[in-house]
Amino acid sequence: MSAELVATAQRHLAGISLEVVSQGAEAIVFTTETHPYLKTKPALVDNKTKFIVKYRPPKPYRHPRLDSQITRSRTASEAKLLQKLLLLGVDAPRLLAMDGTNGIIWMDFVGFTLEDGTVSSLKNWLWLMERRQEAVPEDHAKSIALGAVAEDIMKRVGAMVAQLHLEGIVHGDLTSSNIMLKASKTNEVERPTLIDFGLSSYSGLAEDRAVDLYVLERALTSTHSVYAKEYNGFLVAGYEAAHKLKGKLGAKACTETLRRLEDVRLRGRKRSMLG
Amino acid sequence: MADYEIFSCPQFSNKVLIILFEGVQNNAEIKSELLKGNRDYDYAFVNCDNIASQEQVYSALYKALLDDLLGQTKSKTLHSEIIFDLSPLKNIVESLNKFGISSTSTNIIALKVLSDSQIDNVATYVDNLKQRVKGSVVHFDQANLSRFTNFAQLKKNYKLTNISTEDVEELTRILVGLTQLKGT
Repeated sequence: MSAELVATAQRHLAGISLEVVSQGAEAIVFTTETHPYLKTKPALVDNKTKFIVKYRPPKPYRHPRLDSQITRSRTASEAKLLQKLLLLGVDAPRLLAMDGTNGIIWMDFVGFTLEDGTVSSLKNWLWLMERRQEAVPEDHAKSIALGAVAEDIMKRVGAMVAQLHLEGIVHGDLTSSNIMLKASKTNEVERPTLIDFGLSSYSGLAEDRAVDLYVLERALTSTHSVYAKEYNGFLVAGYEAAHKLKGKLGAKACTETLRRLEDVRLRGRKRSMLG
Repeated sequence: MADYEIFSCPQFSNKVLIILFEGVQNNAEIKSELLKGNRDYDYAFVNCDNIASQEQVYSALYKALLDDLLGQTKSKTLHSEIIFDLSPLKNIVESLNKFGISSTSTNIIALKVLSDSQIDNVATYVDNLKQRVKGSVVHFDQANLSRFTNFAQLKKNYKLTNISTEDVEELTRILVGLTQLKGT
């Protein structure tokens, strides 16, 4: 199945060498070293030689006409959101090109390769920290996995989510693999950035914001169980701090969201019993 | 250095000839010949006031060539489509007036889409263009484009007056996004 989809993507993108990096239910993500229309380096992107192609293949179980409409509108809404984030100054991948008809979005590549050879998602980085921590069993303060750098990164993640929420946007699929870490000039982990806005939407509801946080909390608990409690603590601290910078309104939105988060924790992500 | 550039990208077989003119004097004449539909003027003439960078132009060429391939162009010719894609406007005539050649624009980018067979005769198209346009040919590069950018005009036309930056890279990212999202 997968090979077939890759072949379809390749037909739409003749002459461009594609490498699969991930496949979800909705889309396949490729990397490539070819820019869609530039031979020189694009302006203002971190990684100037590697690009992301996100391809939403047609779904055989949908009526073709409906399918092409859905593909077009989802592709366009993700691309529009990337542009919106650029205008708001939120760190996110930059839109390079779009082909709504075939469900293709070109973005710049965020992240770098960690020292264990994996890509710098928050998940991979936390795992790397955990493994390093295990190597020093006498360190009872857990100064690697729960050190200043980890605390800073988790707080920044919280602040980033808060920034999104304050603009009335919910991410919709916050997991530790949808958070990438960017490198400083010396190739050390510096700051997080969010990726994959395929399920994002505009919402002013505390419920939606709380679900966003809950999904991330669950993702951290299941993939990084040893230190999840501390990580979630940092996360919420960063989330609160970013709201406080926005004065009374920010503080109010924050209390509302966190109160709702407690409800969501008790009942799970789905509000109705029908979902 | 060649005085023209050939744009190509891996996805399309068509190429685009790009020539940048400075200090064009007969823009009124070009415009009226364009309106008459004279085939010798079958180029896209872009007003440099609204252009910040090469990437902005290339992004519009990509969009126009892609829509052409998919049979989704909105305007009459591929050349008017390029200008339409550069503009954020929904109205084609208005786009052509603001982003194409006008009596006030003296610095102009001329573009022509060429098929594989036409590319062999590129010199003919270049020579023809040099005869029709009374201005001096300069290299199509960032330094020259930056000299011609009219930031006040650009921001007004793209409705970016709330953005204070005149940083070419920052503006380019926004303008590329606007072009790519055109028509969605």
